[in-house]
Order: sequence, then C-alpha cells, then structure tokens
Amino acid sequence: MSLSYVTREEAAKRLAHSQARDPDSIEALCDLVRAEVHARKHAPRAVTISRVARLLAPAVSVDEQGVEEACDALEREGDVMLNPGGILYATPTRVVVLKESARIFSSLPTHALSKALERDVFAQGASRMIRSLDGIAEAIDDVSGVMLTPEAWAGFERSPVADTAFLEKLDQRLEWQALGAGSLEKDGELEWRTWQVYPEGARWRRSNEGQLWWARTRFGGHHRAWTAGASPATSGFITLSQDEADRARFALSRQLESASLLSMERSGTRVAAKLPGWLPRPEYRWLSLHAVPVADSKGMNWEISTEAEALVSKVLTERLGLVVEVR
Amino acid sequence: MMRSSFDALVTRLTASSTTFSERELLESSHWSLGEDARLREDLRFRETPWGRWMLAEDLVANDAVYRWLHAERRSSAALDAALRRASDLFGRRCVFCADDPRFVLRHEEVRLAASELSRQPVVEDDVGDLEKYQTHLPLHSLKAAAASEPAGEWGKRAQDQMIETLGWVRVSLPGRKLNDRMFIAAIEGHSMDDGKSGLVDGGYAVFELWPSGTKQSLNVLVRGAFSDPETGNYAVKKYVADQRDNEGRHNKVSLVSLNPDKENYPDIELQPEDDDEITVVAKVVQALSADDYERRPKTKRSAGRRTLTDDEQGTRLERRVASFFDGTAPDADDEEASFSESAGWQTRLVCLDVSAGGLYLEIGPLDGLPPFVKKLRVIGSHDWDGFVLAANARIRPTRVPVVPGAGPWRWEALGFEDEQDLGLEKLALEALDTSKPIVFRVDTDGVGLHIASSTLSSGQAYRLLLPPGIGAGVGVELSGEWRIWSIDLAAQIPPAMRQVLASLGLDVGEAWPRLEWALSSASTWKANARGESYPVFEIGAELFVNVSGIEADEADEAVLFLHGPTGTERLPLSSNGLVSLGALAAGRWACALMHSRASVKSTTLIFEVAEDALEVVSASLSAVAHEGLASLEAVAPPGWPVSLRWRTFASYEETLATLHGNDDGTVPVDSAVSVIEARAKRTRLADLVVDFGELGRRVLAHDGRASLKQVREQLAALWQERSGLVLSRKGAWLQLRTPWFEPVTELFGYGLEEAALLADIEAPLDLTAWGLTIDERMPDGITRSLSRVLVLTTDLDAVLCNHRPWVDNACSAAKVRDAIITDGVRWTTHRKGSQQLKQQVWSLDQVIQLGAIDDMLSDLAEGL
Repeated sequence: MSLSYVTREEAAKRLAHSQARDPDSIEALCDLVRAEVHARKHAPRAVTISRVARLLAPAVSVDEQGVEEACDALEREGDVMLNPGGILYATPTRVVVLKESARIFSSLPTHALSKALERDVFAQGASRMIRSLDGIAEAIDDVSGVMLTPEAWAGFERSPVADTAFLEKLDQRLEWQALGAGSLEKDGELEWRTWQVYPEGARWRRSNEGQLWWARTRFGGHHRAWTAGASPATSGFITLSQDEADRARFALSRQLESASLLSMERSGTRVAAKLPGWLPRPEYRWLSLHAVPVADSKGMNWEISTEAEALVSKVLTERLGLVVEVR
Repeated sequence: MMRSSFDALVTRLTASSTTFSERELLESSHWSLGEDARLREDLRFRETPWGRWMLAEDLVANDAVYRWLHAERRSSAALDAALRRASDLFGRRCVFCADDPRFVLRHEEVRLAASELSRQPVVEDDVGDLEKYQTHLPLHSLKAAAASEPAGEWGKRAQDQMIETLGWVRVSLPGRKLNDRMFIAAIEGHSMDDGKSGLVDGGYAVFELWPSGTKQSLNVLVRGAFSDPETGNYAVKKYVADQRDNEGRHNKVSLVSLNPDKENYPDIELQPEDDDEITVVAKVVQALSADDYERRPKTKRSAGRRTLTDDEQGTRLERRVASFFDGTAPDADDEEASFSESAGWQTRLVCLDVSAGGLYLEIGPLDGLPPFVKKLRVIGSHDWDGFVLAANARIRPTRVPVVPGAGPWRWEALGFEDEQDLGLEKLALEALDTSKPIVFRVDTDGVGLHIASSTLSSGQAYRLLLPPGIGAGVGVELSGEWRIWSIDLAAQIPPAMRQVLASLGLDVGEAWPRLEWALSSASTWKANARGESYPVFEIGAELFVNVSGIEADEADEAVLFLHGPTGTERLPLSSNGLVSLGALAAGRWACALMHSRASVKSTTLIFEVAEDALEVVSASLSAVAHEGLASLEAVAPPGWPVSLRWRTFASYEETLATLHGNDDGTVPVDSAVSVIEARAKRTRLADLVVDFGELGRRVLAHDGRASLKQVREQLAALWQERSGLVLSRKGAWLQLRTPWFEPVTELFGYGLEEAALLADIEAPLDLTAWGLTIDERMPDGITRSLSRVLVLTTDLDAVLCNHRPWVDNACSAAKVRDAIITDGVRWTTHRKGSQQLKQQVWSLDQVIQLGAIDDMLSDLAEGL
C-alpha cells in the first residue's frame, strides 16, 4: 500500500490502461454501469447514473446524459433490468450460442466476465460476444448462468408462427369468448382502424370491414381487437395483446406476396435488408442477434453479413411469411 | 429602554436561580390581555443562547458548570452549590439555563445529558462504610477477580480487602438488593456477545462471588486449565454440564460462548478429569446498561485538537473496523458512529433525487420479524399507504417512496393488523415539520440522510426538503408543493445561495471534508450485522479516493489514514484531489480523513479487499404447486420478471400477474393466489403458465373436474338446496341458468353456452336449446368443442312424442349427434334421428333417493 496524490491526467491514463479503452467511450461507460448495478444487485436508476458520473469526475468529464444513454442501451440489450419504481437490477448470465461465436447478456462487467469464462470477451457498444466456444457450457455453469439457443432467447418457443393456424385460433376464441359489441367504448366512441392488405402494401385504414382492428384510447393507450368482419363497435370481438396484433398483421399480409416483401440488397460481404413493417418482439430479438439495425431507420433497415443472409431469410419467411426479394 | 409593566418580572427573575421562557414571563401579565409585549424591548433582560430569558446583569453559569464537571470527571452537581461556586468565582449573581441540551436539571441537581456521558464509570477511591455494598460496588478487573481465593478462606475480611479493587462505582439496580459478594467488572472479548446478553466487550456487569447451588446454564466467571482465545486461563462463559453420574461427577462440562460465531469464539469442552481443575469464581448477576451506573463525562479533546499520530488513529481505526464488521456497538467516543447507523427497528427518512423518487421511508433489517408476516403496510394521513415485502425488510434496509405531507406514519403487518406483539409500533414516525426545511446530508453513496442540525458544512452535499411556502420556489417540485433543493457546498458558495440559506434559517459552518470512492467500482456491496453496507473490492485492483472540502491553513493539518492488515499509513493532505490507495492486500480496511481541529468532522470509508469477491446472479428458477395451484411456490433471480398466465383453449393465455423476484430469490406469489384460485374455481381444464422469459417456463396443469364421489355429493346437495326454486320457476330458463343449469351441467362435465346458431330455428311451444361444450387436453393444447345440445322444455313427454324433429334440427345446427332434454327436474337423452319409443328418463329426486346417481351420470355426463 502506498498513498499518493494522482493528477487528473495521470488518473485518466491509468483508467484507460486498466479498461483498455477510452474512459468515456460507450463501452467503458456501459461497463461502469454494469459494475455499479451488479455490485449492488439493485439500485435506483437515477442514483446509479449520478454515481457513475461522480466516480469518473476526478479523471474525465462525463455528463450524466452520456451515462444515461449507456444505461438505455444496456436496458435494451438486457444486461440490466429496469423494474417498476425505476430500480435497476443485476441479471444472470445468459449465453446465446450462434454459429461460431456467442452473444453474452449479463450485468457482470466485462473484465470479470472474461475472468470467469476464462476467455476474451469483445465489446461493441452495449453488446458483448465471445469467439471461442470450447468448454463454454462448463464455464457458464461456473457463473450459474444458462446457455440458450437464439430461438429460446428470442422467445420463439413462447410465440406462435404468424400463419393461418394462428388466425384460426383467434377465430376459435372469438367463437367462445367474444365480448359484446361496443363494450370498449364506455369512455366514448373510438376511432377504429382496420388492417387492410393491398397489392401495393398493407396499412391501417378507417373502414367498416376487416378483422384486425386498432384504436387509440382517449388516455393515449391502445386497443387491439379481432372480429368476424365488422368493427368492434358493432360486432362481437376479442381483445389482442400487442404481440398477437403484430402477429395477426403479418398473418393477414401473408396472403399477398407484395404486402410482405423483405428486400435484400447485397454489397460486398454485407447485405442491406429492408423490412415491410415493425417486427413482433421475438422476431426482433432474434434478428438483433444476426444483424445490426441501421441507425435512425427505426428498426426497418438492417445490415446482415452474407453468411447470415440465408438463415435470416429462412426464419423470417417461415415465421412471418415474408417474401424475400433480392436485388 | 424600560417598560414599567415589566418591573414585576425583574422581581420574579431575581428570586429564581434558573431562567424563564418568554411565554412563562409574559403570558399571564401581558399576552393573555392581548398586549404584544416583548422582553427584547427592555434593556433589563437578555436572552440566553438557548432561547430563555434572564436579567441582563446576571451571568449564565452553564459553561462553567460544564467545564467543572468535565474537569472533575463527575456527571452531576447540586444546583445551589454550583451556582454559589460560580458566583464566588465571577463576583456576580449566576443563574442556570435549563434548556441547554448538555444538561438535565432534575430535583435541584444538574446532570450531564446522556449524550455527554461516556460508558466509563465514575470510579471513587474512598466511599463511606454506609455506601459500600449499599449504593456502591467495588470495581475489579476480571483477571484479579478470577485469581481470588475462595470466600471460605477470607475469614472476617471483606472482598475488597482480598481482591485488589480499582475503586467504587455507584450503581442502581432497581428491584435488586446489593450484597457484599457482589462486584463490578468490565467484560473482556466478544465471546458472550449474542446481541441480547449485554455482555459486550468493554461493557460492565455485576458479578456475585462464589455462588452456591447449581451453576447449570448460568453465565459464570471461571478459571482453570484451559486456554480461551481471548482471555487465556479465565473466561466468562455459560456453564452447561451433563447429568452427574453415580459418583456425583459430570462426564462432560461445556463452557459455552453465546456468540454464534463459533469459529472465532469456540466453546470450551472439558473432560471429567478437568472437572477438578476448573473453578467457578463468580456468577454474572446482570449486565449493566448505561443507566445502571454513574458514568464519566466524555473525554474532551484538548483545546479542540485531534492527535493525528499513526499510533492513536491506527488504534482508533482498528477498533472502528472491528466494531463495524463484528456488529458490536461502536466505541462511545466514535464521533462518526451516529452517522452510519442503519434504520433497524425504526423508520428513517431518506432523500434521493427527485428523479429517483425523492423522499423515502427506510426500515430494516427487522431482526426477529416473524416469518408469517409477508407484507408490511405503512399508513399515513389522507388515505396514503405504501407496502414493503417483509422478506426484504427482514434482511436489509428497505425503502418505500413516500409523499412528504402524508405523515404521521405507522406500520402494520398485512393480515395481522390486530397482532400487538410484533413490535411494529416502534416504527411509527411523526409528521414532518412544515415550518422549516428538512435537511438531508448526502453520503458517499449519494443517499440523503436526515440530520437535525441547521448548520451545514462546506465541503458537503445536501438535499433540502422544502415544505409548501418555504424557500421561494428554489429546487424542484416533488409533490403537493413540497420541493427538493440539492446543493453542493464543495465549491465556493455564491453569496446569493448563502443568502437563500440564511432566509431558510440555515447557516454554513466549518468545512467538513468529503471522502468518496473514485474511478473503480466495488465487486460487490455487503452489509454488516447492523445492516450498514460496505464495498468489497477485488484483490489486485488499484483503489482511488477523491478528497474534497479540505480547508487547511498553516496551523492546521489534514491527514488521510489508511489502516488494514498491513498496518497504518498516512498521507498529509495539502489540497483536494485524487489519492491512490494502491493495490491492497486482502483484508478489512478503513480509510479516514482527519483534521487536526476536532470541530472539523472526520470521515471514514470502511471496506474489504478479497479474492474472488464477485458474486454472480444465479439463473436458477423453479415453480411448484404440491397441493393445488393455490400452493404455488416459485423461485427466480432477484428482480427478474415472472408472468403468471392462465392458458385455456385455443392456446389463449391471459396474464394474471407479473411479479418480480424478491432479494432472497422467492417470487411473491401471495398477491396472485386469489386470482389463481378464482380462475381455477371456474375453469375445468387449464394450465397455469409460470413464464420466466428467456430463462424458461413451467407449466402447471389444472384439472378442476370433480371426482365421481364429489359429483354425487354436490348434485345431491344442490338438489336439496335449490329444488324448490327449480320447481317454482319452471320455464323461466334464463333465471334458472346461473343457479341451476350451469352448476348441474358443470357436474355433468360440460360448459354451458347460449348457442347463437339455434336462434334461427323456430322453436315450437316453450322449447329452448343451449349448447353444451367440452374442453379436452390435446397434444397441441386445450381445445373446446360443442358436445351436445341442451333442450329445455316444460313438458318433456310432449317433446319426446311430438318434437323430436326440432331437436334433430338443433343437433344439426350445432353439428352434434346428441341432445339432453330436461325440464330441470327430469332429464333424458336423444340421439339425432332416433325414434325410440321407450326412453330412460331420470327424475333427479328419485335418482337421489334411490342412490342411482351413478347410472344417471353414465347416461348424461361426459368424461367421468
């Protein structure tokens, strides 16, 4: 032990050396947030962000906005969990094995993860992966984690394929569990839109006919409903969850090729993919393992490696009925 | 200026040896008459520093009395004598101000307040014979007492002549008479500290020498041929012996340490041959609490200075680390102890940023809270309430966000509101004072802890909770016009801020250094036995602290001390800044920032360095329900979302609840049990899906179908209860549906649907047809289909004779082959197209009377 003053410059240097990256990079900030949350097991989000900013303040200037963005990214990734009341929770280690690599989701900071798994862990933004899979099952056991297939991690086992069978089940429910016409309109008339599929695409429209319906509530929420053919205001209906409505959207669009086109454009070793609409959450999670969303495209445009192209096409075709169009 | 109406007050004050409040002096003579008189208007009076009033010509003697008591190491003095002494010294009349928080004035005796007293007893060398063993007991060292000769060898001599005593201590043991075999000694070591016995290291206890009778299960001072890790060949232990054998000997004697940490404080097991070699010298009569004996004033540091030597501070830090980790009471002179106490069995106010929820109530760890308590409710005013899970509060400090204006608050155990013995009344908290700001000092963890002082220290950060109408809009609104103003006094304080603080009745005092962790996070945070948290760092990592709030001038010194397994190191601090502690060895450490001026508060970080300190979050999960779905128990990682879904036919999953894992890994399913029970009661076939997201799901099948025996019993009971209704309302089918047809067809194994498909078929006479559905568990899930048609008629015979084609049409429309025809009492079946003349008709009253329910069920029921 040896007590000594350290200058700001020297502190920044030592920090960069210990983290092997710039102390104010997104990767470094993500790791500090992970470390704070993991060490405390749970902590209020605002307090965590403020703590991380204060922790770094003697060496580098980091505003809380930057830490907050890192925190947002970690929540999206699933490395930390934001629970009701604004409390961040640490998460167990989940390893999703891809073809020759694996993605890791965990609140363990990277250096600790690397030490525990006894292999290099690569970080890019909030995402982390390992490229060596030898003995990975035992290593995951050692951190009391789980190994998952991409499908299990995405939730395919818990969500049906968007196809005719899925729509038939909605019809069955409608047969036995229909709610009375207009029963959602106690707070006032709703402006229902139905999902209409045209050769040039599919979209929500005001109409009197359709099966899949959506309306905004007066309080800013959403109602989603399934009927035999008329608006929920005038016929019996069942309510749908967001995932069911998303899935029904793709199942209905599946009937027309042009309404569910997945455009793929190759350029060297990369493929640019354009989706025909928002994906249901499981398919979105699955795609995020194999592709990178293009910034500012709101999840509609993705970049895929040529190796993953065939797999992505196959899965999205099978599950959502997308028709691949290669340019 | 003098007011003649105040002349009587002068007389009153002259006659008194103590001061008066302004109200006491003016209420009856002026204020009650509506006169707005103030003592400050008259030069003959002046205010004491504690807000009371005295004659301007008199002197207040409090400081002098305080100094004398400290110098003479006494805790009290007679008021008259003290004032006489002060008057003689100063040559003026002296009075005493009773509102001085350093004193308590009782029965004309001035006593130092409890906060001014140490735990050390006032030891008197000479006491009169009348006081010995009546009001005073001798104080011995344990070692000297242990070495004493047996009482039988003393002859006529008293114990104080046989044992070298340290002096005499005045004790007060209500309900207990002192005797000449009693003495007082300080406990050495932690082996008898179980948190309840009071036998703590450095604490005092009354012993009685050479006790007669059995010693079994008594706490005793024993000496012998053993070696206690803390005291050697004598010890205070609990004496536990087995039954004596025929020869009157014990085969086994244990000297038991009450401390549950047996690794550090082992029991001493003695063999038969040792029995003669141990001697029970004394038994413990009782541990002395601070109020049981006369205590010395706390030591005042000379001229307000601290000694910043390695030796002194190293020893102090060592005691502090030991006290912190062992969970024992902090040193009486530990100036920081009061700032690190956790809430335990009291409610503490904690203030976070507005974005983090603002004000919280904190309780816990609630040691001893019975395990049957699952949830605690805190109730405030204006219908405000909040909840915490008992599982969490039992093991750690637990917070609940609170509306500032909702006090006072009281706690109750949900479901055990009338239980008186839970001790929750100790958690009650008064409403907040709305006349001034409530001050919270922000600790190194970013958490605002409530302090009573109105003097802020520069170098520190604070959150001020401002009641409505106070503070002229500074800060951020929290709720109900209450605001939180976060201020950091680390930097130069702008005059405007100082002005606002002054307007709030707050002033800024001396700098109070701030010491906080920097650059690297801990591997984990743990809590000591008192629930105070501390960081654990991985061995090999370089640790840094950031020092601020240092205002050392030439005459002063500020020093950073680091104390741990390898000794004590110091760094004189010349300025604020980042300090590296280096890479430390494994062990328990304290890093303290101390100022040579005692008035500047010191600050200490206590931490641990360990190998493999990191704790992982386990992904393990489970969900079981051994005795029906209501007995569901689930385990998930802390905070992990767990959805409970009710899956029925067509794979439809209805979300019943989304819960989150508790800190101990259990899932609080109690809140969802009533919903599960309600669903189970009205569903014959379903699955309870316990969904742990990507970690997996557990499916618990529910088959709510009653057994044959239950069907028999329930059908008979139903008939007995409702036959009158059925007979009187025949034909009023909709009225009978819920009380009669739904439960009966459910016992037959069907669901009852009002089949819309039959609406188009014109019904002759009073005929009505409903659909009977069945749910079945298939490989791809639960399916529901129409099984039969239920035809309702007031004349069953007429239907069988004349309306079979209509029933056939109803079956065709429902795409089923069979119908059940009933008037509510008599029941029969019809197969589509059948013209069978002789038809078995089951009359419920006869079937039940003859015990032929099973035959009827085999004809009408499904799936039994």
